[in-house]
Amino acid sequence: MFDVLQNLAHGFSVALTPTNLMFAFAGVMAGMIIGALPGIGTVVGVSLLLPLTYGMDPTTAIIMLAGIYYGAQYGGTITSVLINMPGESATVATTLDGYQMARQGRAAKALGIATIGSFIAGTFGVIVVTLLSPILANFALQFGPPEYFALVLLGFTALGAVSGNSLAKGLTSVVLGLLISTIGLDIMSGRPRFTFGYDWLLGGFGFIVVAIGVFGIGEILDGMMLPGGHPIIKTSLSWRNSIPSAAEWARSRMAIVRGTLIGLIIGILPGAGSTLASFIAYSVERNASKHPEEFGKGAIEGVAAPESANNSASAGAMIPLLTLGVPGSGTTAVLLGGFLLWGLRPGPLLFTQNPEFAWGLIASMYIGNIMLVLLNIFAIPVFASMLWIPYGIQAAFVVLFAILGAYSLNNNPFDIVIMVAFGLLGFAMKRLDYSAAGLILGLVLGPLAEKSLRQSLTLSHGDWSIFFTRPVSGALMVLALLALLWPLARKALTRTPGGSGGLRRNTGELQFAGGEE
Amino acid sequence: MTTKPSLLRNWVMPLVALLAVGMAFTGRSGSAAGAWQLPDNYPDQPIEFVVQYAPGGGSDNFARMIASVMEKEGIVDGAINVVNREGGSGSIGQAYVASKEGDNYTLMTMTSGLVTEPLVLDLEHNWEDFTPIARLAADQLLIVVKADSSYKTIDDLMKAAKANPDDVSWGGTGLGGEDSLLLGQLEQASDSSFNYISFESGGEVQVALLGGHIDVASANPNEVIGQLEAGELVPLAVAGDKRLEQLPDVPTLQEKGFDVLYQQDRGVVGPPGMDPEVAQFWADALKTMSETETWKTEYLDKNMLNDAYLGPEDFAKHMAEQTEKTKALLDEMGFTAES
Repeated sequence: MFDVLQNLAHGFSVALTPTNLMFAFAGVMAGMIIGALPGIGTVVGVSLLLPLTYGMDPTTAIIMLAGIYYGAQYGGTITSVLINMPGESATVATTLDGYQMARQGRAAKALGIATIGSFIAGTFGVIVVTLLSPILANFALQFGPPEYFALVLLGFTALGAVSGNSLAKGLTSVVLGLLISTIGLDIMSGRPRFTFGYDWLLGGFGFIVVAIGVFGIGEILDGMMLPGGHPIIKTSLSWRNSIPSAAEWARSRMAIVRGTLIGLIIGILPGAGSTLASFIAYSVERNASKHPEEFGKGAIEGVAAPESANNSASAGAMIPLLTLGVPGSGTTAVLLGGFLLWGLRPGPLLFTQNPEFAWGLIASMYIGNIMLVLLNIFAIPVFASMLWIPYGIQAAFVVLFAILGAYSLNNNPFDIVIMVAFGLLGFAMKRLDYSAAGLILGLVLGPLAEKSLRQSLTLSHGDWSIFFTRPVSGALMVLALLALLWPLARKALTRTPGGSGGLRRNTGELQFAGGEE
Repeated sequence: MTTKPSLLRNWVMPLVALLAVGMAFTGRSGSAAGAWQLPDNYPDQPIEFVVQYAPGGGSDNFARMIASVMEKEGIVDGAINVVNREGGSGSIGQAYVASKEGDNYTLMTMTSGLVTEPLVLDLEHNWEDFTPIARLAADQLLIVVKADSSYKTIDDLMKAAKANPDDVSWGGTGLGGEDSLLLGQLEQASDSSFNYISFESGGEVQVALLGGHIDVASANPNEVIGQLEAGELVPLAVAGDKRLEQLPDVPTLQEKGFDVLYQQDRGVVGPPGMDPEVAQFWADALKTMSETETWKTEYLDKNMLNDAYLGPEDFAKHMAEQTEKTKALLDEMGFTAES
């Protein structure tokens, strides 16, 4: 324990040098902007800036790039809430309630709770990284293919949460996402699937291209059909407006706690990532909530939970990166490439061989989170004021950034065409009341599900009992089943006190309308 | 309230934005064709060094190292700009460079994937579409197990695989890729059979191995070097033709009587129809660079690679041989490109 504090103090002495402070600030600032710009995700952001760090001091470089990584988790929320366009796969779950809040005139409040949740989760995550890295790295290793498959199944229980009004339509959207995710090179057979001989399809459709298409372009097309765009009640730009009321805080408090823990546990697992964490957190919150019917209609805990989860997950992802030298996500894979580029040797000895690097990074994450919460509090009114821009101009800029984002991904103009095609799909889905978030759920979790399922069955020579006989996998399977059955069970339970369900829904809605005053 | 003006506003502005961006893309001009002579001050223009994979990957590291050593040692005057054009398993960058017929200011990284992938995937471009310049390094695959594994030597492992066919699980990246080709050779040479589990990246393979979910794995040395140093993973054998300098006690598969040789090449190629003089210019420059101390310590040693320089002609011959060998192997593995 004393060792840890001593190391951390040493880390702070590295992180607090003027150069490193400056680069930490540059990193979180760039991360905020990258996260906020539709179409430029963290992977692209970090990839774009990685070459600039070539020849830089490794500690300074990692402090800046890590700042971009967790800074983008804050920034990604902004467009999800304001214009229903997630800049990051980890903020897709946030759009479900965040955008609805914006339409009710509570954009600043949604951004406020997201900032608070992110700060708490991010800081708690770093504390855990500081104290428990070695223990948790061993925990991560317990997860083999069957465990990952069980975990992804748990993620799919968010289906009910993203479905909206019709479970059948929600299921259709998820299956469509799954189908799209099968396009490209199949690593298990080494064969291309559904590429029709086009080499550029080998990599499949990138998440960003699909997401800015179905969300961003789809939303804009839909908005352009309405005179003046979507009806959004403009938030008052008062700074105080972003702070949650006592009632809202009471509702969000536990959501932040649960989201933080879920995010942390899933973030530590290499390959699972913050998107899965945010969907599971959202789904758990809906199941735990006293008023699940408000989810998807602007429930504040529907923003608090996934936003906390994606931040603690990005802190947790540092654990396998620093202690095992393996990446936990797309972005940390790029960071790991950076380690090699800077001449470091990732692996279990990193902490002993390069203590100033590892501890400097950890210390900088405490500082970065404080910088981010301050930046956000002052920036929220500025971002919220975007909604005051006439819709036509707003739309033009969103389209412009969407195109730039899609192109910058691979410098491939064809990606723009694909994005527009997905925009048309998103528009059609919106008009017909299909869930765009469901499509993303299928698209993101599909490859993980397929891969872990097939790996498990290859390991077991086709024996399905592998999912139930291993303790961790078995427990997760039971959890997934419970999560699927719980909403049904609860419906049955609440029905018994005789018709009070309808009444409760009414008071619930009154309550949050009142909370806005 | 009329809807017409606002509809106009809502539609026209986005369209203008679209047009502006569209024009920016089409505004690019191709390079002028005609007779070309190697200028005395070549490269008189910045060089675009295309990496067909993502930043932070092996090829990216390779290209940036070349650019940096060239500059540091003053081997070539003028800028070498490393540009990542990733996607589609490298095919997007390859299509881009293949389209620059006769361009003398573009280079591209080469790995064995450029030879083997077209055989598996029936890709549009293979190595023959590009101008061979030089091979610089050979990446040897290592066979590794967890420190507490019951397989202490490569013989233990092979004995177990023979005794219980399909029972020992072997982790590697995508089927048809380097790890599976190595295993294919080994299975043939030893008349054994493993249970091959495909993962998406070397990192995932490592986690599964460290967690005890798979029995053995093949990996590039620079991926596992940290784990080897920490004693968490143990190398059983190396698939190259000679032992690694940094791991002098680890035998090669050939020494152990298995007729297996699998190493991944790393080299540089140019666009189709690059001027032979230019190709030779870069082959010479790369040779000079590969002999510098900086290259040896900063790149080869750090990544546990063997120096393996080949000039344009030998490089082309080598790739042709590799093509034939891989084709034969894939046939035996029952794995050939669908056409």
